[in-house]
Amino acid sequence: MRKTQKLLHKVADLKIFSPFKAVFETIDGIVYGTPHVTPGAPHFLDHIEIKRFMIFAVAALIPTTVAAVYFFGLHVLWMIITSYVVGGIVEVSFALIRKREIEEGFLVTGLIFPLILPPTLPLWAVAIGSFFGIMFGKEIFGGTGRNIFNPALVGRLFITMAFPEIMSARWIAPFTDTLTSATPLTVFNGEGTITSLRELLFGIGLQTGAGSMGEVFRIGIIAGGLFLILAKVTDWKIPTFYLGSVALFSWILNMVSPQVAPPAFQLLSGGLLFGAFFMATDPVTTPYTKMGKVIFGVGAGILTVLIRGFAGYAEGVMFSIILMNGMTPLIDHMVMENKYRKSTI
Amino acid sequence: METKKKTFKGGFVFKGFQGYPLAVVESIGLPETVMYPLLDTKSLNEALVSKGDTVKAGQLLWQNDDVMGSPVIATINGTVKSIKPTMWEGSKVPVITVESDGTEKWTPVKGVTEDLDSLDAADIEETLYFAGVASSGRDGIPTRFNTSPIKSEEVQHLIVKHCESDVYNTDLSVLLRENTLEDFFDGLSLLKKIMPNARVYMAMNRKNPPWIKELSSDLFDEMVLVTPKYPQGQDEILTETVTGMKIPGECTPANASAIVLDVQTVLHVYDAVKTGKPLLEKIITMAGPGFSNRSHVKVRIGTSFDQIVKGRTAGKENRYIINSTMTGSAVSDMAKPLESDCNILIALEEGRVGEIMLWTKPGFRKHSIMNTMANAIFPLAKINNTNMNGEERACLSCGNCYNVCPSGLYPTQLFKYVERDKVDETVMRYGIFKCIDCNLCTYVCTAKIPLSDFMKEGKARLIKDGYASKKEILTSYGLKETE
Repeated sequence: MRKTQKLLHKVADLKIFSPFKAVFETIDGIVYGTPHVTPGAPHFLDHIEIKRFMIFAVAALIPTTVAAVYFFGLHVLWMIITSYVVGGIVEVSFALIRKREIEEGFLVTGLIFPLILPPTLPLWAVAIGSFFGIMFGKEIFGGTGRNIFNPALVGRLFITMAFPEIMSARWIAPFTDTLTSATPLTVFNGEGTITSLRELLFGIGLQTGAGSMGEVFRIGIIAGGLFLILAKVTDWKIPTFYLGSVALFSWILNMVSPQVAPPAFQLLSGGLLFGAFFMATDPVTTPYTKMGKVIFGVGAGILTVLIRGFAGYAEGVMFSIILMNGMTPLIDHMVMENKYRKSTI
Repeated sequence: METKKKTFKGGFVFKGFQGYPLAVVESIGLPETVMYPLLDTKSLNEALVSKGDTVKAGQLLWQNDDVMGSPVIATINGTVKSIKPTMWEGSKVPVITVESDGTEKWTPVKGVTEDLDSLDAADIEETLYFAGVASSGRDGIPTRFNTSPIKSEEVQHLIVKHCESDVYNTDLSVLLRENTLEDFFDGLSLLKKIMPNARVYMAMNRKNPPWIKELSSDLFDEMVLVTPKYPQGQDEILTETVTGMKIPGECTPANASAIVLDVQTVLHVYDAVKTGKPLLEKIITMAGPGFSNRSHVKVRIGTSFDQIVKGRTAGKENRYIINSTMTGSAVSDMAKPLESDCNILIALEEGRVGEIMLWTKPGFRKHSIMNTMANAIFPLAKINNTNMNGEERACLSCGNCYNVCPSGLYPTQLFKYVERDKVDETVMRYGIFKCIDCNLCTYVCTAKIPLSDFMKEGKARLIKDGYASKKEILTSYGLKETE
């Protein structure tokens, strides 16, 4: 053991710090790594661990985050910091109360959550959303790995419901500061105009509307999502079937009803790409069975097209993913029962 | 001979590690003392020698035909120093200690035979039994003595394997340089004589083309080219890949009328029959970053591990592992002797000090199922020590375990059932008995959960609670019962 590590252990053993054991353990784990060795076969283990797993997702979000700061200014940075601080406090206090280790899940949630918010949202709203999302989306279920719903989406759902006015009229186009209620999707719902696909893809020159701060730079989202798939952090099935079913069903429904936008516009507008690559791929809240992943993707795709086309909301990604999150245990159960229906040994 | 490419679903390729051995054979000379534990008996009187006796290499020390296996034979010339009961993996067994007299000679088992064709199966079987070779491999070599759970005539598949799927493997060129290729083929035809009804397969790493060409011979009915991904070399998976019969973890290839042997055993068969040489010594592959110089060594069976690793440890705190880093057991006491089932000795450094800020560093020297920390591209030798590389957390359902599972199970789900004490028909229906204990799920787990331990516990409890018996497992997989 290193000298500094020994010192840390000595400080942690002091009586006044005894309620904060989890904090010291986390610092120990983050800085020095684990001193534990394998108890038996297998005698050495893969280098993947939860922190490394999470840092991959954060790395994949860097292009999107940098673009958001570039497009919408420094307020974005403050929103991210607020989200991390509030989320971190909730996570740490829960760990201390439960006398468990601090889990690393909020590293990703804390970054994803502000990225799905309008860029001018006041910081107090970010704080409330982050608190609610991590507390009721995750901690009350038992922490990372045991939650049913994606915590970032739970937080956003809460502030959408609680403060509808600031969530619907707080959008700005990149490089401007005029508040507007028009995103490409609301513009389509109102006037039937389709924003130029090239503008949507790069996020630059968006005149007709804006979006959540993380969803505007779509090239960056695609790059990050592909990186995660190539890195084998996320599975390719959910994004592929999600985007594929959105394209397919919007193509079919578009021929029936003009209320439904055509496939290319559906794919490139709103939070679909961000949702498909970063939220629907959260391993905890999506099915673990291979067939279940396919069902999840297709189901979320149909729901997205239906909500966007026929419901009162212009955006359907958040609702469809949350709904499918709720169905995940059922999907998994059905797939497993179907696969192993024969009663054999 | 037909050549077929076969593989299985799942699995994981281990490559680019530190500590691969050189393809040379070194001799470490004769050991001063050797020990022979009589593992299958408790009685001191069963030993055929007594204290102070002079023994010759090849002489029988213990024999009991009621117990499956070969007799215990002396592997050096010398005198019996002591026969006393010693604690051995939880039970007291008699251990014979022999002090060497420094001579290398050995007594042939039988008369030396030049003409291998004239031998009949009975001669060969007798020689193999008294040479100690017949108990090699998981199920032994079937003879008319009690050496294998199945009879010679019942064997339908004889599989010789060289899959190189583990982390560290024995080099084929080393084995076939010590003996020649002809010796290997002669050994094989001797085995074919014992098992006349068997279809003979050679399971060969398909990324080793020079040896595939050399080994192509009409003695084999089929050359199976396998992908060198773990756990292809494990007998259950290999039998399934080659013959198509699924072997659940509680059973052995013998239940599917198959015998799996490695190349070195075939050479021992040749040595025993052709020159009368009993199983005195083995070529042991010494690998792993814990050794300062790594090579293959020729060691007399019964030599203590202390004498084998002498001068190679470089003062490190090592863990010595027998045969495989994935499934092998660690050597608990270095004074213990080498047994005949050991082929590879691996030394891994105990990683008791974690690496600072490990998780933020690019993984140029890290071996991981996630292949982008660039570890798949960079040819730097990968670090491997016994550190856990992370803390245990709740399961994320990341999918690594069921993507690599060679039996197509969902270890994460089975683990949740066993952890919550719900060990009943459901886990059985989810296929827990298909688990072959390859430990790959534990290896790739992101949350560092010992998944394979839970699988073992689940299986043991199902059998204990009477949900399934070995007989029921065998019938449900269409396998035969053996002794």
